Amino acid sequence: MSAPAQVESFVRAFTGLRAEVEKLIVGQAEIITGVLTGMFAGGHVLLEGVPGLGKTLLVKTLAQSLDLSFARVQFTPDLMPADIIGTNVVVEDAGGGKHFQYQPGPLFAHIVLADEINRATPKTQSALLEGMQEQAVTVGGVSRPLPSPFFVLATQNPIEMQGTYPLPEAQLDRFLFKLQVRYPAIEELNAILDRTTQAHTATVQRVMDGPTVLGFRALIRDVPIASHVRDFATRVVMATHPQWEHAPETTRRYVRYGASPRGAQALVLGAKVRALTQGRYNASLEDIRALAAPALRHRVILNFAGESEGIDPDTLIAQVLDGAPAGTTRTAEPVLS
Amino acid sequence: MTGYPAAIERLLRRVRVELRLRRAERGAWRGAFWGALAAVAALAMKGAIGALAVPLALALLGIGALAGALLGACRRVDTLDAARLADRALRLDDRVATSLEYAGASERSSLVGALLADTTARLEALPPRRMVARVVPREARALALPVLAAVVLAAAPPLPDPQTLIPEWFSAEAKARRDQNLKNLAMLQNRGTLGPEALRRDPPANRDAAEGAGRRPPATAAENPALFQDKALIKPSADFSSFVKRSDERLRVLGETDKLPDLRSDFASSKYRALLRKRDELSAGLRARQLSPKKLAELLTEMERLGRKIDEELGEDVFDGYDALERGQTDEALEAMENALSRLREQEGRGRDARRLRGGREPDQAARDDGERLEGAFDESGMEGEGVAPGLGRSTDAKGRPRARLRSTPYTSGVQGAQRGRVPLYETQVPGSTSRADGQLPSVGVFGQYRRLMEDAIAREQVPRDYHEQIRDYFKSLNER
Repeated sequence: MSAPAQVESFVRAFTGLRAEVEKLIVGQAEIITGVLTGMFAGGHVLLEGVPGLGKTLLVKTLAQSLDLSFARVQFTPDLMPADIIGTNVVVEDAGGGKHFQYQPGPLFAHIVLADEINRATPKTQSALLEGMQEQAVTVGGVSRPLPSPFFVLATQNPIEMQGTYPLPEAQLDRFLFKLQVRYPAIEELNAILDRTTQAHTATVQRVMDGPTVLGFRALIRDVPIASHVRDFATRVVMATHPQWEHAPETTRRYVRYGASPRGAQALVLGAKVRALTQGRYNASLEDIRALAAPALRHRVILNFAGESEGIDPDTLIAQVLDGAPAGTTRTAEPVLS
Repeated sequence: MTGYPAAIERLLRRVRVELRLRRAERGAWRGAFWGALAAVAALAMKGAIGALAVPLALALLGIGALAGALLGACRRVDTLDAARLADRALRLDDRVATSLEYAGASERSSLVGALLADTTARLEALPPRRMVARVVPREARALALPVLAAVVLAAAPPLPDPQTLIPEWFSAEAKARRDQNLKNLAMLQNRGTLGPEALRRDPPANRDAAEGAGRRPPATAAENPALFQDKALIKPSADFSSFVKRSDERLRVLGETDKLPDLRSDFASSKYRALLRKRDELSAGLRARQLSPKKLAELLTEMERLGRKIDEELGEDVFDGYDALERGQTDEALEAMENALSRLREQEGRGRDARRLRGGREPDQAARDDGERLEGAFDESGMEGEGVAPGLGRSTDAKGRPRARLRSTPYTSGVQGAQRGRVPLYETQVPGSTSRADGQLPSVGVFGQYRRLMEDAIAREQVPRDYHEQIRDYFKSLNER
């Protein structure tokens, strides 16, 4: 298949998948696009929002739209790592002999919904680390690969702090994007009521399978990116570091730690996906700008001043975007002078 | 070989040309501004330049604009910059810049080929349009000012000579200074010491003859300042006696430096200090009342050893301490030890006095009571000043006693913290005037007093609790010095 045909196929598949999810999810177009972008980029997505906004429904609908296995784990304080990654259990064979047999946990699914992930203890949260990064888990000294594609969608509630354990930075860094689910507009709310309070319910069809997803992931990595676009992504990430000599004043004042190199990877991969979804063969500066907030907001750790003054990481990232692109001229002035 | 399609090449060429034109335009504005400034300067000097001023100003303006345009047009245009400009101007989402980079790559993915084709198709479909926006520099906005100034200057009559604009007061001040100098010279001449002919130096032969005859040739007015290195003499109010008085004062101050004690060797060899070291060694951080009787006894033995040859009464105090220890009265032993320590400290102080580390009040008073003895003959220790009373031996000072030598009178000034015996003394003799000499009271003599004051202040809680240890450490460090 030629490259334009591949790209056209991707655009069609992406649009179709989004349309299937939108059959059940009203509004939240940005969130749906973000989730699909994260999935095709090969990363995991953290959804944050107050209860009742359809986070879990979104993930379940996505799983129904894909011909992939799905598992849901409801995170609770008493959940143990073995409950997620599985454990060795004693089984009796036909001859009456007993031996250990590995019983896989729910992590062994293509799409894993980690619902209310911040309700589990850090120990259990950390059980996801290896699976999310290496796509394999180690139980009893044996490393077991997870199915591919492997995609973790986690949800968390930002306002309920009692009985929760904020995700450690290492865990947060494993998520490609953090998407903030916002309250629907009044028209969207009316549409939600219409869809959920009537007898007729929409059904979702499977429009994509695992190998197709993997094929698109390979295609995405071939998308060319110009050096100045890549430099822009690097500068944006570096500008979140207060120690960087060119960091803006806001970063110096309010940030304790900036985004890791995974943040730059997320920016570039997300930009490539976004370029293809628009039928473009190259990543652009606009793609980087559009994905800077979801890719970096959970990787920027505010200091005490930032926390106490209620600095919003999205605002900070917007300022970084305005101030960072020293090497990418937005007007003709620097070229002329 | 560029490797990218002809459409991209054509686009880049167009951008380069447009960019050079814009740069030339921008450079011309800036050059014109600086040329206009130069023209204003030329027109300001119209009086000196004459009729050529206006053509020169016009030429400067034109040369500035031309040079700026040339400089701007000749600047190198970066290909990637041109590609980004085109992307931005034509809203191509970095397609041109990306194509430019990937077109030359040895391995092209299928997407790169698609990108090049897509970019070419889009470029061919786009109508020609201006890609580099005109940016007016700040200098262009400010150009009106120098041009206006140039026009005004060209129309106006030539400006007056700057020399005539110097204010009158400036020359008046110089004139006054010159008059004052002449007046001073006349005053010197009127004193009769110098005739007009003395302003001329004698020929060298005359001066040699005068020296050979045993008399010094008279000094001229020109020699006097060099001779005395004192400009006061050239002032009308100066006289020779004031100069001698000031020299005497300087000699006295120099002599006082001979009396400065060698504090480092003094403290290093101090018995009192040795005893303090011993006490610190024995106490090992404990306070005096926390010492065991055995350690107190060791301390008393050390005191006795150090003070045996100094003072018999010290031995009595130590004996009292032993006696109290045998009776189990630690407080009495500590009191006796404190007395012995004070006595030892006094001995040290007297020793320093004997070495003239501190001015002794009594000998000076006695000297005054005896009625001014032969000035400069003896010091307090009965030793003579060098060369003043032959046959009586040499002074310990290499130069004799400076005060006696220089016939100066010691001053008495107040120095808080001095102690004579157990009586606090707030006056001690300090050689030299109080405004010129620092108090030379040995710190070891007042250290105990201040330390007791510190302990009292801490006991009365006059010092914040957080600072107690810091203050104690400070005093401990002073003690160790």
